[in-house]
Amino acid sequence: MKYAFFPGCAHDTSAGYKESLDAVCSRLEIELVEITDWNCCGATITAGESRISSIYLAARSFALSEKMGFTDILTGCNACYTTLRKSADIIFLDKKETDTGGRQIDIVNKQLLSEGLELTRKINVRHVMDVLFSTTSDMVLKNSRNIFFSHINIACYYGCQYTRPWIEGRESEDPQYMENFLESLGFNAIHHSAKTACCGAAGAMPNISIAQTLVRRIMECARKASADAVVTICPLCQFNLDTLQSQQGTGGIPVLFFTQLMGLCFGIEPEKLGMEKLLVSSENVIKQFQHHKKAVES
Amino acid sequence: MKDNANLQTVFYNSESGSKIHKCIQCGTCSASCPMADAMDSGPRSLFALIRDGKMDDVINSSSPWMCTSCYNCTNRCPQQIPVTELMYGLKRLITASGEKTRSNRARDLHRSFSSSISLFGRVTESVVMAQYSIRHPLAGISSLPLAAQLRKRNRVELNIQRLKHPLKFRRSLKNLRK
Repeated sequence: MKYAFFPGCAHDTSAGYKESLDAVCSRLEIELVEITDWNCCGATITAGESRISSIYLAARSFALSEKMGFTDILTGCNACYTTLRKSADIIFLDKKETDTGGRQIDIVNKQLLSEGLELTRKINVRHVMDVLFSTTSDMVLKNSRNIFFSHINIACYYGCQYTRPWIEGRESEDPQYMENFLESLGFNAIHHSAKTACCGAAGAMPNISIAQTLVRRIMECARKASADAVVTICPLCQFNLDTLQSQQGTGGIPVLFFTQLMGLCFGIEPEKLGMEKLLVSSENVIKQFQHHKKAVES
Repeated sequence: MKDNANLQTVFYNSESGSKIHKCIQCGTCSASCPMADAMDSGPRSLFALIRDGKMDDVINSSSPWMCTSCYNCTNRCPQQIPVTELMYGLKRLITASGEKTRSNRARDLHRSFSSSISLFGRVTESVVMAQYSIRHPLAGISSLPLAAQLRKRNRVELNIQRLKHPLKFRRSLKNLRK
């Protein structure tokens, strides 16, 4: 399968999200085509300045993917995902006339024309996790499953923006699908109460002491549940949990991307998954993997 | 636009603004807010202030900039008020009122982030950090050890990320805001 990919501004500098996503996708025969000349989604910033600008930011990237012939856009960042989904709802569903006259889609289209673009079709915004989980066939799961993984305790951390109420059928307080998927790969997914708690997001920079408290709470929940690793689906979540933990001093629980864990299960070498980019080392998890692999092989 | 009654009307007429008439002041929003400790008024009390017409207090509040947009409040509000959207609305209202709210760090981060978007169309973390450090040099200095650690792991992009035609893009944004 081939999809338009919206990397977002934090993808390339993340702790191995790019490397592991590419590796896993190539194993699953998913082709991610980066949207040519995509622009920032505006994240949590632009909507606080101008509503129409924030809609335009999404519409421009939608129009670029339409030009490339795509109907589905994938992104791996929770903030990009929520921001684009919210704008998509306004653009494609809102039939209301605005104060300034005309529907939102007409206003943005008029401006898109000046950049040689036009939005005529509905675009679906999807999180890469949803696509990867639904694409992984039972056969792949069966072949990658390893009973020795059951010694590895994984705390799934969804972050806040992925599970929000405008997304139908999504359990927003205590979601289970990441747990179910990782268990079908053989891991022991532990349960904890901070799955959708906020990591502090962009507020971590100006309000570091509060972000420290938020991260400490999340990691404490994971630690109490004996987690060997925390698994994330968003570069900003990973960044805050990883960097703030490393500033809190000794120890710490490694914070991985779900794609790194999938990659290890698929037998991909850790260095091809960017795992050395983490600040809190993931050596404990890699060692367990290698240990179990050896045990199986001998 | 500093007139209290006028600002209140502007808020009620803005997107979803009138929904706060339904607020039962239960405080679920403020209790669910991860940043409540950093706010001078949580969402519940901001709504009370607006309904009381105390718009001076509202536009002098730094709270809307503390919001991380985690949507806990929106998710849990028993009256289905889109609290997070109203926080965005309050940021727009405060900016439009021209009130020189005392500088707060969260708002300055917004400014740095936003100028990257309008100048380049994309955000490069190191550029945002540099812009923010001009306003807050101490914060910049104290983040250097982390930057060095990230650099060692090849996680710092020093080239400014930008669109093919950032000027065209900037003109579009300008036109829309007219």
